[in-house]
Formats: sequence, C-alpha cells, structure tokens
Amino acid sequence: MVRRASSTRRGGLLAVALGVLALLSAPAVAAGGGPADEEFVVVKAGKVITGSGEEIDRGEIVIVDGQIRLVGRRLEYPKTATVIHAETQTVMPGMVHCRTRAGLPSYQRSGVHGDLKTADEIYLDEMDLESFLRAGYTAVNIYPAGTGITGVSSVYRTAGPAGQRAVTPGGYLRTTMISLPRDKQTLRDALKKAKAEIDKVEKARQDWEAKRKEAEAKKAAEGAKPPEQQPPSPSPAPPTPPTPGPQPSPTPPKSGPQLPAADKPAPQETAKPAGDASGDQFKPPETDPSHRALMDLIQKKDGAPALMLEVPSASNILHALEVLQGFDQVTRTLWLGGGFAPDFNNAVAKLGELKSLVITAPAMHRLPATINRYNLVAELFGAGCEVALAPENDSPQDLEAVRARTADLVRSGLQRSDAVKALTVNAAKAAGVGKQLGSIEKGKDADLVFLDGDVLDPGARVQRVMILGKVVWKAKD
Amino acid sequence: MRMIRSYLGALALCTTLAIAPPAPARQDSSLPGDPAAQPQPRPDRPRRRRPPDQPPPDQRSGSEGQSEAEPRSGGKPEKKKDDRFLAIKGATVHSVSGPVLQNATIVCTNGRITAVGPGVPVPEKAEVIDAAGFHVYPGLIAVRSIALLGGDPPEDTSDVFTTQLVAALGAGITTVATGNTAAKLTYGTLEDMVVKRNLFETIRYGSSDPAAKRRLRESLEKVRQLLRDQKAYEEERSRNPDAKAPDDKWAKSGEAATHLKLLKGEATALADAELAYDLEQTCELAEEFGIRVVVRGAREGWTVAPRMARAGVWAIVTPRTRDDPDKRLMRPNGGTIENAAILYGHGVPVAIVPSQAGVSFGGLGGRDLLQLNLEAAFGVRGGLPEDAAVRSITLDAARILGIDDRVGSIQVGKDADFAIVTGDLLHYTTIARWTIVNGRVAYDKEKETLFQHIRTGGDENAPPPKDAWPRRLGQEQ
Repeated sequence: MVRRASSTRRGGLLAVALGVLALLSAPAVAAGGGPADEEFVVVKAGKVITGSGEEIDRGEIVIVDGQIRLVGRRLEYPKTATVIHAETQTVMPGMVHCRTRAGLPSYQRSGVHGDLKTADEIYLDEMDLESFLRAGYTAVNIYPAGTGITGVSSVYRTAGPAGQRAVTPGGYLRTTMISLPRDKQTLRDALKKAKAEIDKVEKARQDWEAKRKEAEAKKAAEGAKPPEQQPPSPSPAPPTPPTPGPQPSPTPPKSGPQLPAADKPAPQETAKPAGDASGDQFKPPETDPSHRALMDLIQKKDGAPALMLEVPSASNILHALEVLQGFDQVTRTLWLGGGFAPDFNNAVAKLGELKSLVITAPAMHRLPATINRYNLVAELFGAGCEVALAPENDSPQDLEAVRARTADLVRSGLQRSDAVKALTVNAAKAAGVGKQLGSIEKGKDADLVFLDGDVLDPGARVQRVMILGKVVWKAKD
Repeated sequence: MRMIRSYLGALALCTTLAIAPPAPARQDSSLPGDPAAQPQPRPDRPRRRRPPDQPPPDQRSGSEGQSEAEPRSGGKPEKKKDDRFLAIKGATVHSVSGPVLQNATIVCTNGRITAVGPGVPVPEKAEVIDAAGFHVYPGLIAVRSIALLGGDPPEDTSDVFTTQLVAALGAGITTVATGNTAAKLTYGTLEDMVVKRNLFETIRYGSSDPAAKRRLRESLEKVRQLLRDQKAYEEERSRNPDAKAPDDKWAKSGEAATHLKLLKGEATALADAELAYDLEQTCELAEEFGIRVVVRGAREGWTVAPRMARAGVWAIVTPRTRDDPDKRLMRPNGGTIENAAILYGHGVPVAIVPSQAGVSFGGLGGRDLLQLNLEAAFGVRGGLPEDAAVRSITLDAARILGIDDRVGSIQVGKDADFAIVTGDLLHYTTIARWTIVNGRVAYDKEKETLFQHIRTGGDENAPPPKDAWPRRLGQEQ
C-alpha cells in the first residue's frame, strides 16, 4: 500500500509526504483492516476486458484503497462502497506507454550511462500528459535519450496523487544498437567492463574471506582453546549483494512503517555495509556507477531492470545478439522500429526462437524491394514472441490512433486476444511494471480506462480514466 | 558456352593475331604462363604467404577427422554444437582446380567441403539439395565491391539482409573484397564473415603524380638500405660483438612500416595503372625492389604483357573497358576486349571485374556486379579460354587476394561456397538456383522475392514454397 518514492528532485518532499501518509495508515493496517477503514470503489461495467485474456460481460470490479481486490460478476461489497456506473461502457486496464520521451528534449549523449535515470531530469508537475490520458494511457515509461547505454527509464502515472505518480520498481536499461560499429563497440566494452567489475568484487570478497579465516585460525592457535561461541561457519555472512544496491535508485524511505523492524538485524537490502568499527564486515571495492545497472543484470539481481535494445533493422538484431553471446542470463527487451525500410521479417524466426519480448509500433510492414505487405506483429506472435505495442512517436494523433491501428492488424491476421495483450499486459511487462499494472487482476493497481465501445473499435473513445481507484479524467462532452 | 563462342567467335579471331601470339591452350595447369615462350614468372608462387594462423591447405584437408570439428576462428573455446552437414547431390561439378564431375555429390561439414565425387555417402543428418540438372561452381569472387557489406570492420558494420546482398548472391558471388578486407556474403548471419584482412597496401606510382612517385621510391630505397644494414649488422655481430645495430625506430610505424612489409614480402602492393607507361614503370618498380604488385585497370596491359609477366605483376582487368586508340602515338595503345586473353597468354594471372563495383537496380544494367560472369564471358569473346575465364572470377581471383587456401575451387578442405546454377556459368541465360556460403543456403531462388517472376524452371506462375514470404496474410493463419 505504501509506495516507494521515486528519486525526483522532489524526493525529499515526497519522502516526507509518504512518511506522513504511512504513519496515518499504519495503525489501520495494524488494526486488521476492517471494512470501515478501507475505501471501497465498485465499477459496474458493460464489459470488462481484463487484459490477461478474459472478457467479462456485465462485469464488476471491486477496488479497495486503489487496488483491485475482486473481478467478476455479482460480487459482494459493503453498502458504503462508492459505485461507478459504467454499464454502457467497456472497462479495460489503463494502457502503459512503454517507450516515450513524453515531450522531453533529446540529447546527443553517447557512451555508457547506466547510472542515469529519467527520474533525474523531469519535473512531473510541469509536464502536460493529457494527450496520453485522452488516448487511454495511465502510465508512461520515459526513457533517457541519447545513444549507447543511455540509462534507466522511469515509469510514471499520467495523473493521480502527487506522491504516487512514480511506479517502482520499473523501467528498463536502454541501449541503442543503431549506429554501427559505435553502438556495438559501446555495448561490447560495457559488458566486458561490467564483468571485470563483478570479478573484481568477487576476488576482493574471496581475499577478505581467506584473510578472515586465516585470522580465525591464528586466534585459535594463539588461544589455549578455540573460542566456542564462534564456531568457524563454512559460509560467512557478508551481505550477499556486495555491490551497493541492486538498483541505481536510492534506498526507499521507509522510516515510518518500518519502526517495528528497526531492532531486527539490518535487512539484506541495506546497500552499504554498516561502517562500524568491527573489521569483520566485508567492504566491497568501489565499482564504476555507470556500469552497476549492467552488473546487476549480469548477476541476475532481483528488481534489476531488463536490458532494452533499440534496433532499426534485422541485421542490427544479429549484431546485438552477437555481442550478448555468453550473457544469456541478461533479460532483454527489443524495440523494433525507426529504420527506413525495416526488414524485420528476416528476424522473426530468430526472435521467436529466443521468445523475445518485442516492442514495436502497430503498423503493417512491407517486404523490402516489393509491394507485398506482411503483418509483423502477427508473425512475431506466431513465432512465439511476446509483443508490446507502442506508437513510434508521441503526437496526440498517433497516441489516439494506436487502438485503431491495432484493429487494422487484427483485420490482417492478428488474433484479437494477442492484440489486447499487446496493448495491455505485454506493454506493462515491457515497461518493467508488469507486477503492478497492465491487467485487471487481484492485487494490481486500479488504473482503468472506460471506453464507449470495444477496445478495437476504431470509433470508440476514452470516456473516463481511473487511477488508483479515482476517476482523474473525463471526456468533455 | 558453345553459343557464346559461336556468336562472339567471329569478331574475336580477326584482329588478335596481328598484335600478339594467340594464347596457348592449357587445361591442366592451374597457372597460366608459357614456360617456353617467356621466362617463367613464378612456377608455383612460393612467395605468396599464408597468414600465420592458418594451417597449410594440404595439412587441413589431410586431417579431416579432427580439424573439421574444430571451430574455424580458432583459439576461442566455443560451445560445441552439433555438426552441420550439407550435401549437394546429382549435379555437374565444375571444381575449377580439377576435372568436371558428372552426377557428383558434394558433402560439406560445418562449412567446409569434406568429400567430392560420384557416389559419396551422404550423412544422415545432412541437409540435402537435389541439384540434378544443375551445375555447381565454386562461389564467385569479386575482387572489388562497393556497398555490399558495411565499412570497416565488415563483421561489425554490415547489414546482412540488404537487397544488394541478395542480388549479389543471386549472381553467384560469395566472396568480395570490401575495403581492404576479403569477406563472405553471409546472408542472415554474421558468423565466419571475414576471410582475410589487410589484403593490399595501396601504392601510388603513376605519371599523374610524379611527387608521390618520387616519395615512394625514396622511401622504398631507404627501407631497403635499412634491411641491408640489418643484414650486414647480423654478419658483423658474429665477428665483432660491439657492433652497433642500425636505427630502425623510424621504420616501425607509418609509411615506412608498410614499405618494410612490402620489401619483406609480407604484403602485396595494389597499384592503379591503366596506360602502358605506368604499367612499365610499375613493372620496373616491382622488379627493382622485388615486391609483389597487383595492378588494377591495366587497360593497355596487352601492349606490355611480356614485361608484366617478367616482373611477376598480376592484373585485375575489365574486358569491356573501351578506349579508342590514339593514332598519333607510334605504338599500340587503347583498350581492347582481348586484353585479358593476351595477358593470360603471356602468363599474367588475371582476375576479372565489371566496370561497376556495386549492384545497380536502376537505369541500364549490365556492367555491375550482377554481371560478373558475363564480364568473364566477354573475356572469352576476346580469346580467353573458357576455363581461364571461369578461373578469373574464382580461383585466380582468390589467388590475387591471397585467399586461395580457403576459396576459389571445389576441393576437399576448402570452404563450402558454391554457386549452383542452371547451366554453363558463362552463358547469358544462366541464373543461380542456390548460392551456398559457408555451408549454409544463403540464396534460394524459389523463396526469393527479388525478381520473383523469373524462375529457374521457366514457369513464372509456379507457386512459391510455403515458407516463402509474405505468408499468413489474412485468415490463413
């Protein structure tokens, strides 16, 4: 319920706000959460499209404190619940735009910048995201601009209470594979360096362990008898993540709700080993912050954002995969697009073999040097990929046309269920927020979109947008 | 082929005899050159050196059992994959270095030829191409190319799906010199692309730039003096241990280093020379310094052919280069279609290229890389023996590039690069049905969308195979 704050410049303010919020709500949770303290919202829809494959006619959604608790027909809820009547409308999960700049300027940056985050460059209050709301987007994944490894993207709700706009953990580590051989070399060098840094930390840890064992043995030899209270444990307990933090994001402010946990031993997540006087804490050597995101990926740490590769042509996919050979554990997403005459038909088999998660624009493609059109999205699904759809640019017209263009694809062979997934679940997954957003399921955030028709009806318009259980936008008419 | 001879023959015969003795016919020798008429340029080319990392060809083919399973690039311990077999059955095999085999089978393992001949057993797992009625030639080699592969290095910059690449493969070309690198047209994969780097050291030694000419001479003389000094020092050191070694720091980098390589025979020089005077001067340089020179152009080579043969200079020519003779000059001059034939007849190894080094789809075609085989056929029109014409775009081209230990002929131990064509390679109606690169089918006419209306079987309404693009459009899925 308590959300982690992002690291915007207002991080401090947010932290205070969140702390207060947490303090207010903590007793309620502790008291057991009686219905009187919880805020119930019920949506009665003509049709609920859950996003994960189900479609429920005359469905209902029970929302408690901004999170979905129940989905189905004829559900039970307290009489005090606020009922939102949408019996003539279709309710779908709020769409997540998984690749956007949202009007931010672009940069000429290149090289490895894994420590940069979009969160550092935006002022949410100053951004106008209404065009996203109008098109049915409840969250945007804003990526850091530039070429090379440009940094970690951040996911924000397009509206909602100020403290809860950021969706964490989320985002991806964006890497371009556009201009060759520069981008290829950048990624190759970055992976090599990240690996070297991991080895460095690992070696330091081994040295430290060896030294400690030696010291213990010495102590044991010097003392008349070995100290019984300290049996030489085979696995000493240095913090398992030796590098600071699994993510470049700072540790979330959890001072409020974590009061009872304070007397427990420090949780694993505390990044820096407590700098107390005892020398038996392992201190990892300094690592290059710009490579830490990659290191986390290689070490497969929890919550590490996936690698997102931007490729404009089929051949560049091969170049990227060649560099990533031997890094099979690195989860990756691909964005296909931007090329003059994309020939992604050549990459379909390979991507399907790898079961890739692919972000692409909803458009028909043309076989190079011919007038034959083909349905790339359908082909990718057929080959075994997961596809997320995102418009190639962020003009309001393009944003609003996404559903209609997807409907176009359905008319040319894409299955409806795949199309819905591509717009909702997969898009959230691609943005790294699949756990919180993207479908109407128990436990997910109540970010919903109300349409006056079917999701794939080109004429259907967004009527209402709900974020965290509250209607934040209504069509004017 | 007979057709070409018949319609080209009449013209070809009438003027040749007056200018130069006709080329003696030779079938068996892989080297052109008449030992009786001319001083033998180089009986078996001992100066052409193999890169140190490659075992000699005989050694490689001798120990197939072990060497075939090893990865090509060597050194790197790679994950062992299953062996990749390809078999071509029932074709007429033009091995170029040996006899023509009827109804023969070629077996390739992991991109190398492991067996050739009639009745060769085919491994069970092999991908089999039934090529009955087709002719198999070694993949053609273009000693000059533009815009087929990327820049430098090609394996990091190439787009391996371009239309140009497909078209060149459709012309039977499998290996090209791109920049200063010999690389394969590996359609759809980046593996095993580069054959040899640093093919040539380009020198400027033409009458158009006397200053450059002087500089080159001076530099070569200086480096030669250094080599002599070093030799003298070696001798003196045995007698006098205090002898002072000559200063060779200046020859470690830059132009001097290049020239040192040339003088030591570690590199081949490439010179652009068209006119008789420039060719003679280049020959003089090659003889005086004992360096290996390949001349590109050699339009008036036919007037100085004996001189070129004596100097051991090799030539890259274009038979269709036309240049009307200047009557005022009191010597034979101008371009002639017999150039290649006359050079060959005097023992100058000849590679043939079209006048355009790229692939052109617009305007009048016919002089670009797509007509590499026809350019060689025009050499035949000028009197070049047919087998020599085929060699000029396969084995002799490979020798000029210094890669004849890997490509250029169909021999056990060489790379599995083939052009499987519908008839005689030099006939104008011949088109490629399959092109094989590194034992992979890189081009399949039936599946190709480019020039789809032209069919090897002649039936343009024949349906394409099921896995050809575009597919699954509409409801077929």
